[in-house]
Amino acid sequence: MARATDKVPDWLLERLSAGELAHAQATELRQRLRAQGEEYRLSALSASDAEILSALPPGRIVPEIERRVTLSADCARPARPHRLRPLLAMSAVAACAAGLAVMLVVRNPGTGTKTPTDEVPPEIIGVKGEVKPVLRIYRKTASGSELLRAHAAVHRGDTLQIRYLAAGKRFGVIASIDARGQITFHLPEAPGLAVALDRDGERALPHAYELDDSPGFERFLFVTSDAAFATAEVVQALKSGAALPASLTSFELPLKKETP
Amino acid sequence: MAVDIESFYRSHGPMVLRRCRRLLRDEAKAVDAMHDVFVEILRRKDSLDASSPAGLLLTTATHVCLNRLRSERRKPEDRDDEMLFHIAAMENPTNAESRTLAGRILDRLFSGQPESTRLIAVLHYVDRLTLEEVASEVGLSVSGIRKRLRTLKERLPAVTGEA
Repeated sequence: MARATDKVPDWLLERLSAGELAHAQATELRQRLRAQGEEYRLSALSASDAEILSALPPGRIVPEIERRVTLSADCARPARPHRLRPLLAMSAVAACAAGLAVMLVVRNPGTGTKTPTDEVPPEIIGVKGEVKPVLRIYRKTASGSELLRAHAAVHRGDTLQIRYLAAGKRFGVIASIDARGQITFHLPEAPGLAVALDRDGERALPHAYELDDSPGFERFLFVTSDAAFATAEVVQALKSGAALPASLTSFELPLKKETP
Repeated sequence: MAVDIESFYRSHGPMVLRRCRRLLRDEAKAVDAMHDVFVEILRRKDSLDASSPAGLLLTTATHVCLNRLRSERRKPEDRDDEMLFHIAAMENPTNAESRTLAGRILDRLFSGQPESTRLIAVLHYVDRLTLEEVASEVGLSVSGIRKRLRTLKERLPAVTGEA
């Protein structure tokens, strides 16, 4: 039996704050807090809630939770009884994550050393709860996928899944350029107009990509705006490094291509 | 149990993170574990009882953290930490934690069977809940809690100090 002088455990304090305890127990705990001059601990929880949600807003946390749910569902799914074509087999997880996936072979180099970037949160996140559009690239691994940081080493044959977080922006373009100056459009998949983005949560592009053997780097650019714009503006920025118009927001993710 | 993950995170995420911080004592690991707590909830949302989500999340967080501590290599920081490591390393006498990660986390909880001894041990020895409070939290009788802890004391006399 707890005595009036026993400190109220944090576990029970949380349950009390959540309003989940029976009336008698809640009353008893409140009396103990009062007797010990610790009623402030309840209000401190509210302050802690606000602080945590500011530092780790839902816009940052929820997409990662959803991604892990998708991956765990993929892991739980039994293997197909027959083999897919090699490229399709490699893209299976990313494909399921996208809901509908088609494998495209793009370009790029190297072989298989892995970059130790497992489950690392994205580097570019708005401060104090402000969420900005973010591009995330995951590499397929034997056990699932890994999030690639900027300048992560990639290799020929790596299968990449591109995902974006629009953070409320209405239109966007995702494209990349390699060291040879060759531009690849990922969203849309051909030059034209920016596409309407899914504005809530992290979204996967419908295709995964296998890197080819072009050397040096692959620089990805995610350009967004609240108004429609043309992919030509992105091409200009990619090729010349020119500044984008002020109405456009960009997120850049360069990857380093390593050869064997 | 219908789960709107965003509102669920808003209402309970900070509590889960505090729990993970308390047990793991490492901010990055705690944030990572918090994600997994919600993953477990989402994966099992169809079989959950929504009557006490805070209790459900705290319990899930405890299991997730215990499983992580099991593979930790760091040195315990104090007596509570040492106790946690011992509990985490235990095989559950009632066998709940011997299967896959997902299975060992919540199968017992969601099937309505008695809570695991590891959780009981954490609540009593680390969180300092009384036997009565533990019994109330996990839905067992006080004598049932005593019985579970007796087994634990035989395994951890040096830590519990009650051989």
